[in-house]
Amino acid sequence: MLNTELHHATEACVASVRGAKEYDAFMKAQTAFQNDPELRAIRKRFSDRSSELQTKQSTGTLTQEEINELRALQSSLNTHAVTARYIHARRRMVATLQECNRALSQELEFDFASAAAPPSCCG
Amino acid sequence: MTHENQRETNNPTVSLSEVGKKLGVAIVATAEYQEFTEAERRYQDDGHARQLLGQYQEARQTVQLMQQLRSDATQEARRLEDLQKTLESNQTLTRYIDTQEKLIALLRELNELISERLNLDFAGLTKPKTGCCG
Repeated sequence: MLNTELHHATEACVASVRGAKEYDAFMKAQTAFQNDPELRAIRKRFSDRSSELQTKQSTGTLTQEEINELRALQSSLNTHAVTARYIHARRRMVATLQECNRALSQELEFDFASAAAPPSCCG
Repeated sequence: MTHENQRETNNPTVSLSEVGKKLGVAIVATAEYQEFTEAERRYQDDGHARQLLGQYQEARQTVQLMQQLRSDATQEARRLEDLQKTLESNQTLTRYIDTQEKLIALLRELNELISERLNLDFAGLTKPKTGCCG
């Protein structure tokens, strides 16, 4: 249970991040990345072809041409303008959050994010 | 408000550092943080406790490694158990571990709240990459 002061400081931090232009740009880019009809279609084609080709691989009938086709689909996902905008916005957003984390960690004398992150595969 | 202050308030970068600092100050003021730093100071001053924890961690890693390699770890596991019992009877160490767990629980709660409100994983996105997970 957080005390009142901590709650207020947390709310101020949240409000400040939400007010940052990097947060707004990231949220818009993320929505576009998730909902862009062209990207969704490529993602679906990639996912469908990937499943089909896994089956072919297990039966030893996968061809080089099919591997190239899947790679081309992956590449069109990664190089799509909406994806590029999303990656750029995400990078800027992370840099903004890191600035906040740095200021916070300086007070604590240890890295807040490392201590507060949920346990990962690294323990 | 001066012109300079006005400009700083409107600059989200400056403002974010400021709110981050304020949140840090609020955490430092909590009982969890104060109790942990006191327990950590006692631990750092206690050579025996540091040695004991070092031995315990080393033995635990050895047992894990032996188990991964499917070697017989019976003897080492017994040593680990003995070290665990000694560790549990050491007040400096139990206090250090207990206060550390409580502080981490508080920090995780804070992170969950921030992440939920921002709709993203704050600590996960900002923590330094260790590289062990690829």
